[in-house]
Amino acid sequence: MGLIEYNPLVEQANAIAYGWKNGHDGAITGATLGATGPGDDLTAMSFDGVNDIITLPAGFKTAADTAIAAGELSIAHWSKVSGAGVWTDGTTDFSIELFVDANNFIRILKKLQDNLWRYAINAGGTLNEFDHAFSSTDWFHTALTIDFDGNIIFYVDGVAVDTSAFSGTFAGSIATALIGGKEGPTNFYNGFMGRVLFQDRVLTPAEVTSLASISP
Amino acid sequence: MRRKNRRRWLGPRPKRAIISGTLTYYEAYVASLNPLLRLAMTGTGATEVNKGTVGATLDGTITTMGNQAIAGKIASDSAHLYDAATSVITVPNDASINALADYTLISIGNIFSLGESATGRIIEWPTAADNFIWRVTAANGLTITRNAATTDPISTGTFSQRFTGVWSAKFATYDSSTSKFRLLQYTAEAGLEEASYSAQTAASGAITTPNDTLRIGADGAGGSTYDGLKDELLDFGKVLPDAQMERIGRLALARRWNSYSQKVLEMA
Repeated sequence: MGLIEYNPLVEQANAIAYGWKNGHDGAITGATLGATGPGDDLTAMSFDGVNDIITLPAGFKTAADTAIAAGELSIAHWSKVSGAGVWTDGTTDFSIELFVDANNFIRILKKLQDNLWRYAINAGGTLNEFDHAFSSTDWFHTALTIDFDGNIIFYVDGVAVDTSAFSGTFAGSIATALIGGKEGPTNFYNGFMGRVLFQDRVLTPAEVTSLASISP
Repeated sequence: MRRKNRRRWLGPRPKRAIISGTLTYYEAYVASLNPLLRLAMTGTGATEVNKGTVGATLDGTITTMGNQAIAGKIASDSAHLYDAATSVITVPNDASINALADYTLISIGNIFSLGESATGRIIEWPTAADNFIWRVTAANGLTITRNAATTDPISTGTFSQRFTGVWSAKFATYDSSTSKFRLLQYTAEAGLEEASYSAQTAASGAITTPNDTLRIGADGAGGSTYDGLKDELLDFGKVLPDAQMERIGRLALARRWNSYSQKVLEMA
């Protein structure tokens, strides 16, 4: 058990979002390097909401598949929208997507409707979802922990804003793993992101609290 | 794919691995690349133990270090403060590191100033006929000189920024397929960058085996001293690709420079 990957998005050269843990390097398409980060003295990456995206490699997808098969997965990252208008711009913007098919996916996204930050997990056609009322223009931390035989917990800035029992049976292998968009690709994220991690177990509340503290 | 009714462990979770006392990610990664020589600059007495694959044959001898337990950059290790006067580490001459074929040298440290006459040595192999010198120069530069019997190949270059006063990893490679020395630097601010060369002459003569000890931080006469901190000195008997050098620099400098990332990486 352990960290599947940590892509802090701090690189300032080359089109590679290095995986610091296991070398699952993301391929950068368009994202601007060297943007101001969330406060830990490192930079982040900027996504233009038009076509910027990071594609995670096959090795990552295999490791994530293994974690899901074993029954637990956590995703966490820091993000910041590019401006207040993003929350009411009528678009759906994905920060993370692990996509198997239309009936099996894991997503974190800004919803089409105003001021909603959302997770959506489709497990064999059974949709697990929650919309959190939110409109921050500052950096904020998101964590989604999934026990595929237990609970889904959605944290924003270290606070559990939703705890729900997992429903359905997640099936299939991940076809597309993206930072900053949805398979296609489409629904591109409009803002900044960094410190993206994927863990093959359920992060504890204390760990999420720690991750939501960015001080260097 | 998922086992819906998997057996669940009802007892307490296994204890998490504790990073203290184990290799850090930097150390583990470097070890995986099999350096011949790795001096971590942790020696507090007269000996600097070689943590590379060659082992004790290449243990260093420490002479009048300014401070042998100053805060470093790599893991919980200390660094060495070279006093710009008499500090030097000598490593026995050995065929395994004689720079006769491909190699990569790495020095991770913080240069305070450019050293004596702006020629502070990172390393030098002094010999009568075939000195090999890797030194800092004025104006954010590094220079490799190699006074072989038949030619005098030199690589000299400068970097865009952040040469002194910050932690950096500096790299020198010799690729026998091109007969050229490359000079590179990794800083947290600029990532991996290659020097802008004012000279990069291909070697044409055979490199004569050095016949004296390898000096770290000074020349063969004890001059041209290095002024600043050193936390690692590595010698690989191969040319590391840029991606590996970049990763070494990144992991090394992240340790204390960015505690958030370290916190994440240490999660079990």
